[in-house]
Amino acid sequence: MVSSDKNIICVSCDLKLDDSQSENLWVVLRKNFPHSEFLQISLNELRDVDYEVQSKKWDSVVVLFGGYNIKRYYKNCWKHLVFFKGSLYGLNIEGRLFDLPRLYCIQSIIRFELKKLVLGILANLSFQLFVGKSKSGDIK
Amino acid sequence: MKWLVFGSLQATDVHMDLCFTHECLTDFVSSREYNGLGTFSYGLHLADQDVVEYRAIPFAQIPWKIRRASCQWLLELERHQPKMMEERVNSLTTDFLRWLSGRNFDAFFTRELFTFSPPQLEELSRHFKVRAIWLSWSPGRALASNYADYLKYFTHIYLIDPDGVELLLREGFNAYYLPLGMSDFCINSKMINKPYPIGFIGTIYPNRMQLLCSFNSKLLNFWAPNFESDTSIMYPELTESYRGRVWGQSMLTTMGQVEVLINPVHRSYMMGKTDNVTNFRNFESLGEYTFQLSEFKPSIREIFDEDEVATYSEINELKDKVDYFLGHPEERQKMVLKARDKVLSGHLYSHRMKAIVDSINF
Repeated sequence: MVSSDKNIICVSCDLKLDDSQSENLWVVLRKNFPHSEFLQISLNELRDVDYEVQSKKWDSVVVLFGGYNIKRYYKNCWKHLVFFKGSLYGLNIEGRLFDLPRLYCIQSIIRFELKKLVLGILANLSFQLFVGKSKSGDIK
Repeated sequence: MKWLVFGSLQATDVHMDLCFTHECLTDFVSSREYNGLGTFSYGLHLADQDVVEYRAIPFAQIPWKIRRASCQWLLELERHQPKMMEERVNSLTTDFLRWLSGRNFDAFFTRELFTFSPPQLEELSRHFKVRAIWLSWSPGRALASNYADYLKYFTHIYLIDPDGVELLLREGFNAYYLPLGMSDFCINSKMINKPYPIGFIGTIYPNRMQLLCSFNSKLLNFWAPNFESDTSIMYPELTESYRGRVWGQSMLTTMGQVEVLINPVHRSYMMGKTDNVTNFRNFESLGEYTFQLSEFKPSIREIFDEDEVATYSEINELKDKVDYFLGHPEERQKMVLKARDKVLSGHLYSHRMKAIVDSINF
């Protein structure tokens, strides 16, 4: 069980969950933070100014992840990683609650995004050079 | 009967040691693909069929060792620019159809439904009287709404999913149930030392993590392509048991080193629906003399008796059975040998391909 001093937990979720998934995750949250109030937000829908004001009221943030990695869900967590000063937790779709190590997550996201960017540029260049200019396609 | 077996570039191809006799024609006997198109070609060949295997794989001019590294790069780039894949597939299938003209075959076999466009499939049907496809996913039960536009060009359809066959039959397709089998390339494997007490080899799905976490990490060893450093943040207790990724022949060798292989049988295409299928591990493990604890499916029990392959239905049962069989090596070995004998006598891909030939009944 995780202790919480201020009792306000922000649940950060940009995922579309069905009712049964959502209920299972709320069971895990209530079990791990039995004396806390929960506030569910979506970073996509929260303006920067509102984030700054609201985040001061939170003791902890729990970020929801859809799969087995953090980097692919960076939109749902980067602002918390950079600006939120309190405790950070992750919760995956299986109901696994875990500590979210700030430095590791930032590195993981940056590495992944850089790799994606470079490969995207290379892919587009290759497409232009080898395929786009040839009617029949040259990747043979 | 003269067969043309066709395959385009698949992600697993780059982990195989393919041998080519010409740019796109393989020597499937030398390639020894235990889990790729070549094992089906070889099965047909052993079923006394005349077989030519055509692989629409790019960079045909260069040797396979360099070619497969290039293909691996290409596949990575295609993930970032999907149009590249469309162009590559279209270009290479067009080449194939060009190559086909003037050549005569009786039958066409493939494992891919969406590689050819409907107009190309129309052209294929002018070349081949028999067009057979064997899928290890289930059209109609997976997220592929337009499958009928492609499937209608195939005269014989084989699925590993009996419920999927029922569905296709109701829709008027000529469909047959055909479970997976063991590669004929694996029949001469040797029993090797087994340093890993409990093992799992495969992709991680949600219910599989729960399953892996329920074991003693000192005994458990697992190999998964999608267990990343991020995953070990979520499941730190599994990090100690994770042994990396294994592909191709090294996967079989690794499997041979496991005493008790945990084998959850869920097929990802089912998207949560009930499935009733065999999987590749059911047979590969026996090829390597490895005892498996397979998830229970009626399809598996139709092939293997209880004294051949042990099954489980839920995690506590699995844990109890793992403990029991770890303590009973002789019983394990007896079961493996019995199941293996059964596979060798009736469940090799050569038997499956013979069943295909028989069902076509020229």
